[in-house]
Amino acid sequence: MNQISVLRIEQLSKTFGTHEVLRAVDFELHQSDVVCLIGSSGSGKSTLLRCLNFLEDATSGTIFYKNREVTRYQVNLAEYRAKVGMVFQSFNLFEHLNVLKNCTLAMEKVQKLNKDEAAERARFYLDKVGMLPFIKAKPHQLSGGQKQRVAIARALAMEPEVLLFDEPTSALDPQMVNEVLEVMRSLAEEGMTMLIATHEMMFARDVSTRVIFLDEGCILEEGTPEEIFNRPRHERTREFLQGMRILH
Amino acid sequence: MLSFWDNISTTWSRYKSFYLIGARNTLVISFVSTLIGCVIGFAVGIVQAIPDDESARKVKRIPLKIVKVILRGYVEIFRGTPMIVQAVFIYYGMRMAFGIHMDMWTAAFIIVSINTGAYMAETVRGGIMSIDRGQEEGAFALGMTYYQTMLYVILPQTFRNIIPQIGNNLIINIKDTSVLSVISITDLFFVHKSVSGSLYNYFESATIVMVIYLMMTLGASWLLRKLEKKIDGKKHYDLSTTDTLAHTSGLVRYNRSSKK
Ligand SMILES: Nc1ncnc2c1ncn2[C@@H]1O[C@H](COP(=O)(O)OP(=O)(O)OP(=O)(O)O)[C@@H](O)[C@H]1O
Ligand SMILES: [Mg+2]
Repeated sequence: MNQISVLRIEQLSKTFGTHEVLRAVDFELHQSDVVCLIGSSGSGKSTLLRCLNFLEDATSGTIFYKNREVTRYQVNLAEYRAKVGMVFQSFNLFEHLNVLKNCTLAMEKVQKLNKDEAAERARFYLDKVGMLPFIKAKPHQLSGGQKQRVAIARALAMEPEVLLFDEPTSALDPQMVNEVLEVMRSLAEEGMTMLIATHEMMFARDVSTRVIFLDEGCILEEGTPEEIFNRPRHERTREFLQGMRILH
Repeated sequence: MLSFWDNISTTWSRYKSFYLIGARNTLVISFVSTLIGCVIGFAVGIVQAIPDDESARKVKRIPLKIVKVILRGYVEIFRGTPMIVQAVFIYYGMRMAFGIHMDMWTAAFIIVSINTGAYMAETVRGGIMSIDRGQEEGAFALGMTYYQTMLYVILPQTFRNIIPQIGNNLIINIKDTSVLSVISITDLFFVHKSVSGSLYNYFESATIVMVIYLMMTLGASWLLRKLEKKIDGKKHYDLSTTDTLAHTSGLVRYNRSSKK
């Protein structure tokens, strides 16, 4: 396996008031890793991803991108965020812009691409997720699965090194879940580095190179899907998986 | 009854040009001032919406808070006092207290603009707050700055959402410029007062003026509806089948082997 470090966090903690949501989390993401974050609701999955993108400021701890420390107040936060893309549960497409402009806005404003370059790149990635025919549609005219595929294309168009997914299919009707998972699966096959918070256990089992089980803000267990799903070491992991009907 | 309509028609034909000049002045003051008021309102509302908690270390927090207090004072004072009093206060007060002789037209534009600005400031602030936080986060996650996010993501949506409020302000301004007759602005109401004062045909003149006011306000709301429709764009989107073939079936072709 390729061992180039893309993201590494050390002793990352986050408290809201007195509530400790993340407790000294350590982990490393290598190039082409597909890591699934699992854990019960409120275990801190979203918070971890949001800290990695600086949508939330960690209370303490350090984030390294390609072995270089990143802080909120450095000049190239924008550049970092463009390299560490994020896909949200609620899509967060720009409601007033059509599909094409949703993809090109940040390319033009952040990466300073000209209109044509941006449009060309947007089309390439929209084609990848099967949304090219819909470039003129506004978000409210699309189904949930279509919106999420546009959101993925929008993130991909920044040509990121790693993509963070925060429960990308949780807001979708069951029949739309697959179209989004298909896209993600094929990104994984292409070697995209991904960190995915998910409740889709079958997907996690199939696609991930590693699975992290988060429990009350701590990484309780980490391993290959085989290890986590078939031979979990901790009682808590076992209980969680039984709750998800993965383990009997 | 017949004589009523006769009187209206006589009044109208004799004073038509005065009514029309009055209507024009009313329209010019209310349109221009609503426009300037919107600019003021956006400026103030945007500043009021800048977060001043710990997350905003970049803009110095203390100066920001001072500016916000001042702007808050502006909003409260001008929302909280009648425009007719403000008009007297500014136009005559400036003259008496400071010896500043303000042109009455300048005074009119200033008064209506800052009044509208005070109302619009709160509307804009509310409009910004009501945009889902996900919009902002989506932009931040793509590397956009606070400024870019405001300009390209939040404000266009805010603007669209508050068009009905802008329309409200425009209509209120068309009617409320009538109070400017206290500083002798020859708006539509001033014309009415002059005409009826000399002819004692209050009812007839008032009927004419009501109809003109109503036509102006109806026109204003029609115009804003058009603007809304224009911004919303087409109800339906067209599939761009020129790009790829046969997507119209609704089935999505997903290209697994596309190169990267
Ligand atoms: N802004 C906030 N202020 C206070 N508490 C918060 C905030 N955001 C999250 N929390 C708390 O942090 C904890 C972890 O939340 P988080 O959203 O990270 O969980 P999660 O693992 O993503 O859960 P889910 O699977 O439901 O999405 C929760 O108890 C939540 O109440
Ligand atoms: Mg979550």
